[in-house]
Amino acid sequence: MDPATLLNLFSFNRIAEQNGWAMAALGITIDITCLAVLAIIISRVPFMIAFSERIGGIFRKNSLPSPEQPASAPQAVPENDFSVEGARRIAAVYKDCALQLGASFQLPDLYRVSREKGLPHPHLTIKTLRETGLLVADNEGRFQWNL
Amino acid sequence: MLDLTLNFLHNTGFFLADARYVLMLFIGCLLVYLGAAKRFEPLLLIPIGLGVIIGNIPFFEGFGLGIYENNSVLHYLYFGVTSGVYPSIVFLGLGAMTDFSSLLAMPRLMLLGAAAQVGVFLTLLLALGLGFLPNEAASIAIIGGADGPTSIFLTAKLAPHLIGPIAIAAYSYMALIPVIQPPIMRLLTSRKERLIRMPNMREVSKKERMIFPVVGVMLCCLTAPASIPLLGPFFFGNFLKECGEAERLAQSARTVIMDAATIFLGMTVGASTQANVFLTPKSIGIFALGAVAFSVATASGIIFAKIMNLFLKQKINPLLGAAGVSAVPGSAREVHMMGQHEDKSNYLLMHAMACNASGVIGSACAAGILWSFMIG
Repeated sequence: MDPATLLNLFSFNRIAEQNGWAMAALGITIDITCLAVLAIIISRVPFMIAFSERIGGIFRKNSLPSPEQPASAPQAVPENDFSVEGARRIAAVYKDCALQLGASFQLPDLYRVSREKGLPHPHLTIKTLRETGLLVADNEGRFQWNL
Repeated sequence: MLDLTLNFLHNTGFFLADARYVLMLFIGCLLVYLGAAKRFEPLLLIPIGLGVIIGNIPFFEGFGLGIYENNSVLHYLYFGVTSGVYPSIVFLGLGAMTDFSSLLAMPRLMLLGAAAQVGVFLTLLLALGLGFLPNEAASIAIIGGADGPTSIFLTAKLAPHLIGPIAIAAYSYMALIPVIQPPIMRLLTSRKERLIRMPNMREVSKKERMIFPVVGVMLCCLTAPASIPLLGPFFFGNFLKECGEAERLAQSARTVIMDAATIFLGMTVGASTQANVFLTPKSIGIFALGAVAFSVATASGIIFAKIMNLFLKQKINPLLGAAGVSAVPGSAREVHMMGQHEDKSNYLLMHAMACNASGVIGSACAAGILWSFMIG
């Protein structure tokens, strides 16, 4: 079939009669708009998630302690207090938090518990407690309080 | 004895066959060969090819054997096609397979999936201009979406008598992506453009991946409710995959359920190409228009990427536009290979998969929009 015959077969009038121009223009517009809106929405999703987590964080801070938490929250750890008395107070806080570990425990367990309780600088603090003799080792590789 | 033998011989396919059936049997064998030996989309072409062979064994009409005869086994299996059940199930499995992370990391790539649908609507005009009825023109145009199940679904709803040629055309062009797309990509892009590197993608959180199918199904289906049978199962399958709490269901959806639907879809669509209904001048027109639709869709994606580059600081590699057609993952692979042909260290695969994924959504939306126009 030569191009001239093909051109004769093709008719712009038929397109107009079947409302083809409107269907094509509207169809393209709807499809592109739909996906563009979807793209905009999903590009905002990370911000919405971050926002909801911030709001959730505020509510969590303001909420009462949950039943799983100990009745008394750990005392605030005195920071930047380098006196012997300051070290004793820190050790007392750590001892309260680590009651579940028993009289003697391993240092990794103490470190894990202090992390879970949100105590600041646990690694540095445990090192200081050992150096000041408030946390002493027994002969079996375990540690206990010396308050 | 002799009469019985003659009667039997008169009932055999050898006696009833004519040139049309022989041609269709040859086409069936060719499709099986392309799938099995050349590995062109084997999961599709092998069931379709064998279906073509099964559907074109000549038989005595009235025995309840043919796919178009009531009460035949093939007719019952074909119901899954004409009712749109198989395409919906395939979309469920596709959703459970698809990872939208790359698309979520770079949402602007979604526009390329939308732009490729321009090919669908331009082909609609062409088909109308050539004298096809609106329902037929819409069914032919959706071939440009390069999505087999979507083409079958829309054709089943609008022009069921054209399912055979449209499905064969859609799947053939999907299998011929390595032949059709590269020349268009080379023609429409300069070497400098093909060398553009895409930035690394950020990590996408699980929450984002879970929110996307919910937002996607609401927005797309509220815009084009006629796309619910495709996009509903698609996003549902994706949510099953992403939520992590129903992994067993997701696993079933993307394996056994989808495989079963693909087998019956391919086989019955192949069997629907009986020579007496398939070999018509209309079929030739459909194949020609299908090629145009696929090519225009590829070109429009590339051109749209180039237009986007006029406004963007961080340029997009225009090859990605070619992956806006929803032939997953064939077109993405082709884009990646074209990029690597120019620069071995340029990895475009994940970005191309993002365009591919948006192409699936875009073509299903286009099908829903066209269906709405036709029933409106």
